[in-house]
Amino acid sequence: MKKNVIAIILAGVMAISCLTGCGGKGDKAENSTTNIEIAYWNGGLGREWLDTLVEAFEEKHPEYSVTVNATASASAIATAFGIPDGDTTDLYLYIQSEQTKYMEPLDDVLEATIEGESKSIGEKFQQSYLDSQVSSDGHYYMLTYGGGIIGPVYNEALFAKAGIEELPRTTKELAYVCDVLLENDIVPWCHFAPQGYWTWVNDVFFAQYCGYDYYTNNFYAAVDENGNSPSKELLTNKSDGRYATLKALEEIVTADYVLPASNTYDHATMQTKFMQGECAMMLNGSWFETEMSSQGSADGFKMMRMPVISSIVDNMTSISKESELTKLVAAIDSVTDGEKTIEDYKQGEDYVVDGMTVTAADWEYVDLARNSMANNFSSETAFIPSYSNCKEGAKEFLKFLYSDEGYQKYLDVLGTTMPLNMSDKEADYSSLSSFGKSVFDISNTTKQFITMEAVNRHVVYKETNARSFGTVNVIPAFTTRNTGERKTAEEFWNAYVADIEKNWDEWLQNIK
Amino acid sequence: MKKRKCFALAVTAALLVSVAGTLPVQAGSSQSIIDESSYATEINGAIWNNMDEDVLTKDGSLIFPAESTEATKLITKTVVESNHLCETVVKAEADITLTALPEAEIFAMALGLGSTRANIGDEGNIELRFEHKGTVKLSIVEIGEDEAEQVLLDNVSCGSVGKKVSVSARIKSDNTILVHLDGKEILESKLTSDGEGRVGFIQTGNCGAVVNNIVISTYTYSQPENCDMEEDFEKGYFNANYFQSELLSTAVDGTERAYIAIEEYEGNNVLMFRNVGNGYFSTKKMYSNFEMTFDVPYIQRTDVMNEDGTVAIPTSDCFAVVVGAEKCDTLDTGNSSEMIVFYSDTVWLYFQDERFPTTNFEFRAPDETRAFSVKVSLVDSVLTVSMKWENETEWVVLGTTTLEMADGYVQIVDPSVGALNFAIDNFKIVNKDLEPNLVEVEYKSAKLNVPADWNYEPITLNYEDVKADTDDGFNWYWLIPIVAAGCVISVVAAVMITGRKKRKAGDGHDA
Repeated sequence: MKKNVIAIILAGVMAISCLTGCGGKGDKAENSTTNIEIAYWNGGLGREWLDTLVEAFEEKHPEYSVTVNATASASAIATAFGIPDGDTTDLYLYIQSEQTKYMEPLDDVLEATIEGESKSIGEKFQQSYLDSQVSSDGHYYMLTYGGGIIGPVYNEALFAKAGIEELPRTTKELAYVCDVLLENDIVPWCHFAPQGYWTWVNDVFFAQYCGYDYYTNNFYAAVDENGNSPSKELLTNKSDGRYATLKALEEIVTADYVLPASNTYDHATMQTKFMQGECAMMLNGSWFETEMSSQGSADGFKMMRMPVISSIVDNMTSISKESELTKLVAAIDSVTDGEKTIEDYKQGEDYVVDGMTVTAADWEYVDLARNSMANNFSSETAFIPSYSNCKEGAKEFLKFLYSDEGYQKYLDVLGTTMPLNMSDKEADYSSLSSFGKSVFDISNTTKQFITMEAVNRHVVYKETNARSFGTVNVIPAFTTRNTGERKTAEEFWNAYVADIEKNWDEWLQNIK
Repeated sequence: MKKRKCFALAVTAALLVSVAGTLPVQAGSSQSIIDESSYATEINGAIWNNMDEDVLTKDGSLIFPAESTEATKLITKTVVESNHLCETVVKAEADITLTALPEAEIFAMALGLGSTRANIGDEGNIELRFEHKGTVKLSIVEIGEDEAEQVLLDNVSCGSVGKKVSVSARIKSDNTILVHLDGKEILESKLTSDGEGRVGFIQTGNCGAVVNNIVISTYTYSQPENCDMEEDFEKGYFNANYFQSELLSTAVDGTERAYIAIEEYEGNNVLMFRNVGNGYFSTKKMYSNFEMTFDVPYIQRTDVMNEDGTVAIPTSDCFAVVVGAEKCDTLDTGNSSEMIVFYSDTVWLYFQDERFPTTNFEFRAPDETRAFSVKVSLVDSVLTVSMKWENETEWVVLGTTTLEMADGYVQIVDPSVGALNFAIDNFKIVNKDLEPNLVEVEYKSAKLNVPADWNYEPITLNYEDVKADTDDGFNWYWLIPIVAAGCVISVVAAVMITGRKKRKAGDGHDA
């Protein structure tokens, strides 16, 4: 009897062993060296693009399998990051983090050239974007997988109704467009509380004025012209372009120009109002279409290139007037858009535009300004924990994402761009909506991606309240309906300087 | 921009100054002034369009350089609008000293400009033109359709280049224009247009000028669409097209259920605020000039305790009236509105930081039992706050002040997280605009239609539709047949093993 029981038990064990291996694909043993565990912050891009890429990657790389753990909660996604014993994630698709000491360098991803392509991944990335990502030790630890460019999105029908046939090329032209819209009973702008995406765009005007080199290597490096760092005088410098930006904003974002309640309603409400035609323009990003898909189609909306800050002529030698600037920008656009070549304007060392001689330096200065866009690629950032046991797999996944094949799939699903070009061919964006195409065209021709969140910005901007325009919101100060509270550019600047004078010493203590 | 108060002997009320724009419209009747403050240190880009940025400021004057072009101009962004309720549409004054005026060129102070880039001779312009015809001469020209010029006044001598002249042009709402030169009236004439548009200094080019002491006054009257409303809550529901209310958060203290709802109190229906932390009752129409009254039949003046010593209903916190709210679907105490907070001993205009003592109206005194009423009126930027005790007929004015406010919704709110325990009744709001723009509002009951009961239905789970959500790919539904197969195999194996042992035993071997 005893042996009978043993025999039955053994048979049972044998049967139960049949349970293992009965199921799906791959070996999904926890934390395996061949399973890439992705922690994905689903902050608005959705799952489809990632699932598409995962499926294609697994087919291409059968040696790996991929597990995606997605959540919409930004606070939940990275709770284990930096805890090697508790963190099994191999690839974070999250937001920019300061914890690079726990991250694997991605230099080799950038140096890699995908089979069949002629350019390395690093060569395909926009240089100005990479410049913002290099850490102080010279390595790259984070690369984007989303976010996008930010610029003025406009309602084509409302522009047509107002008879606006040419998009504004300068901030003065933008102010004029606002006037024309108002004359046609169309509210020019809206934004969401407290100041929409103006925070990002203000820095573009600043960078346009001062030039990318100063913006990156002086202002955000906190190094003044005498080499002092960090420098209070740098922050209180009125002539570096930030005051000029405030003056431009004073003209283009007035109380008359914005939809009432812009300073108080949330972004979903104001974006819905914008989509419903309550105003003509709104600063928004590449994600606008995806984010608002439940409210309707983005057909009829397009993004425009950033107007050039009109006071840029202060830094020109061959042009000094708004009328001259608009002609120059029009010429630059004609080259950017492929209607003309630069040779059409070249004459010796200079350029001639509509009878006006422009130095090469001025042309290049305005060209870079015109083709600068704000971006928040840092808000969707990929990084690999240095303690991951599937680092190579994670890197292969990133390489696939940034390959021509992977990027095309990304584009096809999301209709939004990264600061990335194809290796040897143009991306196929024929499936994009008109909004998506406008974003793609602009992104593809952007020469400077401007961000306030460069990885390598000085610690004073990371660990204190030092900011390019302070912590008080500019736009509500200019547009409040309460006239007693409304500020001029000069009043705002003076308050900003006073705040720096008051807090500088404490900030220095905090970063020591 | 300098603000000035001035009082008119009109039927309406005093005219007070505020910054005007085309949107949003300042409530009531208002005068806007653009003056030296808009260019004293820098040209304010929110007020002026300085097209080529070549108009400069120096020592409180605007400088048009002699090297000017046609684009050297300064035009207001404000668009003047005519309103028959305002006698004057616009008045523009300036001292102008021409420093360069070639023959055949024109420098003008102009009204009725159609754009911030308007040029000399554009249709709709009303131009006070300075031209060099031997000496400096002033002509007044109205440009009509197809840019046809009608000369209203021709060649008034202004002396020579370098001499300062003071000019003033006033357009009235009956399309009359009055022009003064150095204090002397030189023209009173009818225009074919109403003078609506922008004001500016424009030229054909090469004209230099110093312009100072600019004063441009525009007059507006806001008449938003709304209606006179009265609500005594006796129906049990208010008109949801008139009003909106919402409890946003419960009070920190108080065990009684929190709500804002109509209920009976001493034989009448009232709108009860019970243990409200944040909440509001709002009009759904915006008001410019208005008078609002409501009764407060109940306010909790002492704590109501539970048997266990906890507080069921705390002493009421203060309540507030919000005027000029931008939104009606939330408690709007943004920086565009004003919140009038009623404490027991003071009424506090929160953002303007002005207080009116409520002597003799200490309505929250613990031993006070009387109901009271509140009146808030805002007419042409004059705010008046009044109260009276029940059964009194005369209102006592607690305070009057200037409140420059854009049109907005009117709300009764709990401004703090302290518990609001009070009730309102007989709410009334009356449009006090000249020629009120009243509209009919359909009745829509605010009653919520709640279904009789939730219709519970058993959920059918179709296992075939359930896809595994994990990537380990193990399909649990295989477990049953696998276990069944395992059991069969184990039984068969056991039988075989047992049978073999029996045969061996039969052959003389031990089991």
